Amino acid sequence: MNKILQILNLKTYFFASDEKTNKEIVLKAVDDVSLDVYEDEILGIVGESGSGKTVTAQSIMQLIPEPSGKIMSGEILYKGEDVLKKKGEDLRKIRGKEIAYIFQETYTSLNPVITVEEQICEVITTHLDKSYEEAAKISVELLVSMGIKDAAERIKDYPHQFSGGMRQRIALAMALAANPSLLIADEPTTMLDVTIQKQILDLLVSFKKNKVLTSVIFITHNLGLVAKYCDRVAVMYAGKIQEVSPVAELIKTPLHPYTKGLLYASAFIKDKDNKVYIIPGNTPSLKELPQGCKFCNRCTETIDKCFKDEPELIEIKPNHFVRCHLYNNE
Amino acid sequence: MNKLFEIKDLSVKYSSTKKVFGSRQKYADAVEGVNFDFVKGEVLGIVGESGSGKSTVSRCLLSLIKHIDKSSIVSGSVTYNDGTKSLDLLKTKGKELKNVRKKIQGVFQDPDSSMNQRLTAGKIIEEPLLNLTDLNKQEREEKIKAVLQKCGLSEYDINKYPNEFSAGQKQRICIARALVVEPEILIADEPLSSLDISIQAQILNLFADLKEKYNLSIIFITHDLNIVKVFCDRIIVMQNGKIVEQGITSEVLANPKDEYTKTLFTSNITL
Repeated sequence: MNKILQILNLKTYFFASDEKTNKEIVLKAVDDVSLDVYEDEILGIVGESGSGKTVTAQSIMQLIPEPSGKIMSGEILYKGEDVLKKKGEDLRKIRGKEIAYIFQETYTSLNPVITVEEQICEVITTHLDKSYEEAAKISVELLVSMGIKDAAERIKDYPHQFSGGMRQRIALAMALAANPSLLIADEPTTMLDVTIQKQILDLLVSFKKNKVLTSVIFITHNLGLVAKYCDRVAVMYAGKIQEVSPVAELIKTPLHPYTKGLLYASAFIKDKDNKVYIIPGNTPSLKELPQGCKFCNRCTETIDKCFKDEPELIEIKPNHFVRCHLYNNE
Repeated sequence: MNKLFEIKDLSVKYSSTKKVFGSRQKYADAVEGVNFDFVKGEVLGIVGESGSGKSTVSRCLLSLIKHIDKSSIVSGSVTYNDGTKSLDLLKTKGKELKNVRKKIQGVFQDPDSSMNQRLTAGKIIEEPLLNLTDLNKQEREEKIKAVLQKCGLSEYDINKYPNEFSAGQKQRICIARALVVEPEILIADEPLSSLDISIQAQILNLFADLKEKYNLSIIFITHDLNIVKVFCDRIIVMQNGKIVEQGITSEVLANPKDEYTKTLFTSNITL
């Protein structure tokens, strides 16, 4: 299968100053991430908050706020070209046209003071050679395909006149307006009700099936959604990828202790004392990560090596990578 | 069986537009004709999507409805039975209401907005003691330390401010504040939905643990059916302000009768 996007050794750091000593501290939000996205697949990225999944996605689109954050090194090859080298006009041709992005909060990603029509048309007239009238026609068709009733009239409304689920449909319509190949969906349904969530994700999958989209990167912390909608999944923890695998295999035989913990915790499995399984400890602060394996202080299966050396991401089975000493039998 | 709550024909209308001069006030039905009982010692789950009225019901039970929207119209009755006498919470006022508040406490969705960021954890937890009891300073301090420990925090956390805690710890403070007056009913309105998955499981364990320690009866409002499955004895499904189905959790989950319950269950994605 062809790779549509290749992330190679991406490092995105944030800089903050320590309150007490006033020294600069470096927060490695994304630390040496390499990840491929193939054509015709939905890749899930999962992890707790602060694990670096959103920063990875924002790095692809160069949305990292400078100077507090910076992409330090690495390459992101989209169809063979490095998007990180692109600036200005070249970058605009990628953003929205080739790679589109939908955000978690539609309140902040739609402009509240202009109508939905203007917002969708802006995408079309910017990227495609169309007049405003033609663009308006396409916008209505898009909204109809999103399942919005009376689209021709409602398109003149402002974002606040729509419900949360409707706004996410509008955001999806905007993202698809310029026919991008890759869609990055950053927790698109976290704020929505379960019934609406299912509608939106079914819609997303239908667009991929009908070849409107080639590939989707789906960021979430809900492993249930990953199991249902994704083809492959990458598990992130503390800025690093801990496990990458086809979904069915990951759910059946998770290898990394963190993946196991996430799976048990999100299924609310009870143990013999009638307690729900938990991952011990708290989500780590990037300021105080342990030496060695980043998960060692919360892990239940540690060996001596875990506290000294950081394990490498190695391929255990075909297409199943894991970063854990337990599987490194050298 | 000892009924703690008996809710009869509860209806709530919120004023939907602001009244300007002579214009007519318009109302939106948030809850329409809700009936249910709540028995001592059980965990009752209320599920439904946003806008289904589940939070409004919880506000009525906490006697907060008139504080949130003064012009709302509430009808029906919420009878609370504390073992000796019955009270209609919708009509209870003043000193009597204070006594009821000692027995019924709440935990809310967003710990950040439900506590004063300028008070220390100790002061936050002390507040219900100051308002509802007449313990002296030393007794209050002992109570606070004891409740902190039971909620998985340490007594050294007393002097810390909310911003020094993680999200899970903040929710623990809110739970400690609710439990410091030793209520018999805890009403938890989506207490897990703003937390990370691994933290959700921790707090859920805490609820189960505290239920034993304090002999609590819990009303647990959520939209996550996975939580209901493991934690609630009985379940109420709400849609558009009405109860569409209620019953023993395992029975409702295995054999949902109402059309809406079925949609809700099929939309709920599990592993």
